[in-house]
Amino acid sequence: MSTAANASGSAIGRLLSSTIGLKVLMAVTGFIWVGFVLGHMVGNLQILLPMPADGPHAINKYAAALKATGGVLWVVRFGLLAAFAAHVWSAITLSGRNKAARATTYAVHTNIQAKPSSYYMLVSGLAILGFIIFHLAHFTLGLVQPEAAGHYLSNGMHDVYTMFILGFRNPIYAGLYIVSNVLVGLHLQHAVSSMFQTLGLRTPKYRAYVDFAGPAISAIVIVGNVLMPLSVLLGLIGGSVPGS
Amino acid sequence: MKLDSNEPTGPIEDRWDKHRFAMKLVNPANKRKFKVIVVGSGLAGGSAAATLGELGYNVDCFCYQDSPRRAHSIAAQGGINSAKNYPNDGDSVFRLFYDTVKGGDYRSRESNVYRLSQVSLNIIDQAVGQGVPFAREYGGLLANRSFGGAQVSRTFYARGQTGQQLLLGAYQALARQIHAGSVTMHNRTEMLDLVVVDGHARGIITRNLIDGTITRHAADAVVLATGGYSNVFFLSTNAMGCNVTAAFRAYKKGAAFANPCYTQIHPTCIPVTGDYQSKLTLMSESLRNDGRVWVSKKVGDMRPASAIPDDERDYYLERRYPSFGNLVPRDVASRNAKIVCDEGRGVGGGQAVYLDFRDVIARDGKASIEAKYGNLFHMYQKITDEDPYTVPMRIFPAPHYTMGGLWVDYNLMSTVPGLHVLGEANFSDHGSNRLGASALMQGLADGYFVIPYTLGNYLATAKQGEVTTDHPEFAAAEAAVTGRINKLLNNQGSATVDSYHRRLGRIMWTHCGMSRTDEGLRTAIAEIAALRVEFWENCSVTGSNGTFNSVLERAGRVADFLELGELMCRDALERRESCGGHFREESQTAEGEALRIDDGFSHVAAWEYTGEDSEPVRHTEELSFEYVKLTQRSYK
Amino acid sequence: MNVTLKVWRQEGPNSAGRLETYAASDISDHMSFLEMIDVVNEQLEAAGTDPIAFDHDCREGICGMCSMQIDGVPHGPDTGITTCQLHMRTFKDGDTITIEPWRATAFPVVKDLVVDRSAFDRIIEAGGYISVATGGPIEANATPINKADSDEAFDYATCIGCGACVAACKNASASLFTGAKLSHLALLPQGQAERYERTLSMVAQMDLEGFGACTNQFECEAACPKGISVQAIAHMNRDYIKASLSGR
Repeated sequence: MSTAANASGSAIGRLLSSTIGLKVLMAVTGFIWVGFVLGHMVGNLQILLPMPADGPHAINKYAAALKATGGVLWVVRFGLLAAFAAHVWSAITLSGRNKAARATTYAVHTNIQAKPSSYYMLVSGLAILGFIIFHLAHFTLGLVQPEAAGHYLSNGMHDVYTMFILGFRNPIYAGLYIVSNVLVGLHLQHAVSSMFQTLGLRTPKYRAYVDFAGPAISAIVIVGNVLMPLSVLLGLIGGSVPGS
Repeated sequence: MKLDSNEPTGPIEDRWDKHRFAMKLVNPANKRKFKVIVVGSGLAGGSAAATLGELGYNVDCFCYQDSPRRAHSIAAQGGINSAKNYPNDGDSVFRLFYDTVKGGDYRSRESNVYRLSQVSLNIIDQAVGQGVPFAREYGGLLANRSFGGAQVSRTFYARGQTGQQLLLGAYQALARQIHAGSVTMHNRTEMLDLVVVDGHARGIITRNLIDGTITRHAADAVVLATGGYSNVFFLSTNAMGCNVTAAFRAYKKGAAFANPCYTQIHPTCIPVTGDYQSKLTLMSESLRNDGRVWVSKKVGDMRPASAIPDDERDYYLERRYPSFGNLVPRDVASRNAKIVCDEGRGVGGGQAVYLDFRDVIARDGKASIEAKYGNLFHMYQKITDEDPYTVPMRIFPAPHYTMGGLWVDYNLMSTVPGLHVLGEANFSDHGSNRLGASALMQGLADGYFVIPYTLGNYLATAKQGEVTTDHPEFAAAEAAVTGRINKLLNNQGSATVDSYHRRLGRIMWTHCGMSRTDEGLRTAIAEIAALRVEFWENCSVTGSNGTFNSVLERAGRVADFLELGELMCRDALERRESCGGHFREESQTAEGEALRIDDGFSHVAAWEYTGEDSEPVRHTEELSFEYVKLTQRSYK
Repeated sequence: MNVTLKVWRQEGPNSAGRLETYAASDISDHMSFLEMIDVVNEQLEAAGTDPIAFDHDCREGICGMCSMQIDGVPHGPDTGITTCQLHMRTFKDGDTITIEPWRATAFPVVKDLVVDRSAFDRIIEAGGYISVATGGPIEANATPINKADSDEAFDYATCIGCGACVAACKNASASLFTGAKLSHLALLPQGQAERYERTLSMVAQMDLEGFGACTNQFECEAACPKGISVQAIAHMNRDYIKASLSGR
């Protein structure tokens, strides 16, 4: 059989120009980010641990440990950035193709069974992009709330615990984090199961697990990430930190 | 007109081999120089176009649907026969041949039927090779079932969608040739005339159904595979678009029309519910393997089925035909349903009988029936809103298949040299009654395994000069087509096309349906002639030719049906015997069974068109039976 | 019953279309949806006006010709059926029903509710077959095929090519159609020789026709009159990844 497909370009080039290839790129980069979101969440949940009688809080030890990895941390950061960029690029490219595939829309459209969140993946995705930029400016670069970020421990290390508590005592910032993390959760609700389907792994044997994974990870991410600002906002943790 | 069957002679089992050797071949390098037109893309047309393309001919294929995959072969449910004898239950090529000739009530040509039976073996291999997912046993080998009353299990099937799967196999083979460039497909294109030059079929005139463009197509040979004409009854199991136009245009250009009165009324269809009804839905014949057919013993019994006690039920097929029971052939089952309904014993006094699964569900359980017929029960439930697991199905016969068609010789060539006719469109293999699961077999046999040989022989021997579409015959044919379209469009009448079709259908169903009489047929001929006049004076055809115009499409087809209906009645009138699907009330046994008259009617009747104002002429081809002994069929 | 129809009318591929309102009166519960349209059309014809153009043929749910988006759902509100199998008993007296053609750039409107689905044919032509010439195959029972594989292949082979999957998809993706044919052939031993080339060719053609990407909402599966599983798409994706990475 002769094909146009066989004739042109390298295997990777062909893969990345096809709709399936772009979806695969999106799934793989999405997978990386799901892993990061879960790891990030688990690490940060240490904030809920009680303040020890002496020595720094667990979250500060954790932060120090991450810093100590040095180059590795930067490799991971650049890797995440590249994955994110690829994820956004494939999303926008596909979105353009998808719009073109239905130039004239229906006067009446009825959803048969799709999850509502699946209709807003681009919107929730772009909102998450905005949130991540804010989050980096807020906690990584300390640009948003310099008064919260500028605390250091006696050994000269950055006092992440205090930054965290002061950051979330502000109801506007806490609210923003809560809303944003619900969006992240909704994005993952469709994304996680979708990822497996795109990669062809939603086989009859594993279908039930795959279909469960999306909502389950979504719920975990929402509960875990909302718990942190909420606990601060309700005064359940951070009593040792003065100020507002 | 001379009807020479061109049958080979000698032992029947050697005839096809002998003939294949005797036929001339076309040099492979020359094949691409021959242009072949194939009209129709169903099992016969699709398989022929694909195979001729593979062989290297330059093929143009036409269909009226938007894709060749939608031809009505797709709707065949039950299965396809083949003498593979996998179940080791006594089948053989000879037995399939014998059963087919007998089932056709001894009105078919032995040589053709034997060849059909022989190539039935290759068809299964071919389909499996294409990836047709026939039903399989747990061991991984092909499954067979008994079908339509056959005493052996020779039917291969793909759930209730055998026609679909076989057609998709042929369609995919066709797609491969389209991709390779050997076949050019013309979708949404209708053939409106045949062009004959120097006595040979040399082209067709088509209309593009989207924009009305009329086009001339020249070729070295024309193959018609345009299906049957059951839609002459208006209500039938055929698709809405099925029509006789291509075949009828060919008839008017000199191709004899054989046995037009042989129509098959299928016994198990969902009954008519109202005047608005547009088509009838078939329920697979396989249901009769387990369902029991009955009506009340009382006339006009209005009780629901559940309120009629067993001793007041008449299982009339089991009563009249103890050895075959509910599995009698289609014609017998249909006629008996008509008889009990005419007596006023139909369901609720109407036109329906019960097909009841109560007993088999009690015996084998609901799950077993669901596994076998689940999709059919689902379909029935969707259409009627009744649950056949708890309420017996209501069924009634409906026009389904037409055994008659254009006359062809052993090479499948009509009386117009170069015009070949395949599948249901020809008359050749089923005599006066077709057995279940034999239509798919014949369509594919003709397309895959017969025409590729015989067409080559024609092309190698006919040696006709080149003809282009500039030839005056093309101009004349195109002018006739355009004239007819304009005549229809300028007809500022007030009645709709469908209203005429419906009226024609009623005349045909009443007088040329399951039972026919001299008087009724004469009445019908007169009524149809009058209806035809009225149609041309008072039919309303909206829109113009230059657009997608379904009204114009239907008007042209109904105009041809209005002529074909009369021809069918004439043929039925002249055949003063009962045979197969043709039951003449004047010719029946004391017990009311069909009575064949071999001395006088053991022939094919082929009608020759002689002009608008003169009656067609009936020619005959005598049938000789060397291998099958003629007996009166008995299913008692 | 009486219902009001809002029907998309469009003269030709390049004309502007609009929804027109028609009254369908004295409709019987037993009528099929298309028979209801027939009634409206016969009235339009009798009045000398152009009837509503729509595709239909077998009227028993197998040819795949009928194609109406009814109240925003391909083939209407009932499940597991085509438009021709939809019955008026599904609706209530007084309902307003909106009927539109399939909407996809790859399925241009021909007239009113009729669209051009030849893109599907071209996808099949790109490789949706097993290359065997007539007379070539071996004896049918020479290759036993596991019944489960054969049955699964059948499930995919039941596709009628109606286009409801494309119509239902928010991206007008043809993934279910293409995946169904690929999966049918990939599950059978006969289909192995060309399996990966076939996948690459058909997917390339699918993209070329301008269908959108699968976004895994599975509206196609829900709208499919034959209930074909989106497992077909997973299957296609897996084979496509394999074929791409193997560098063939």
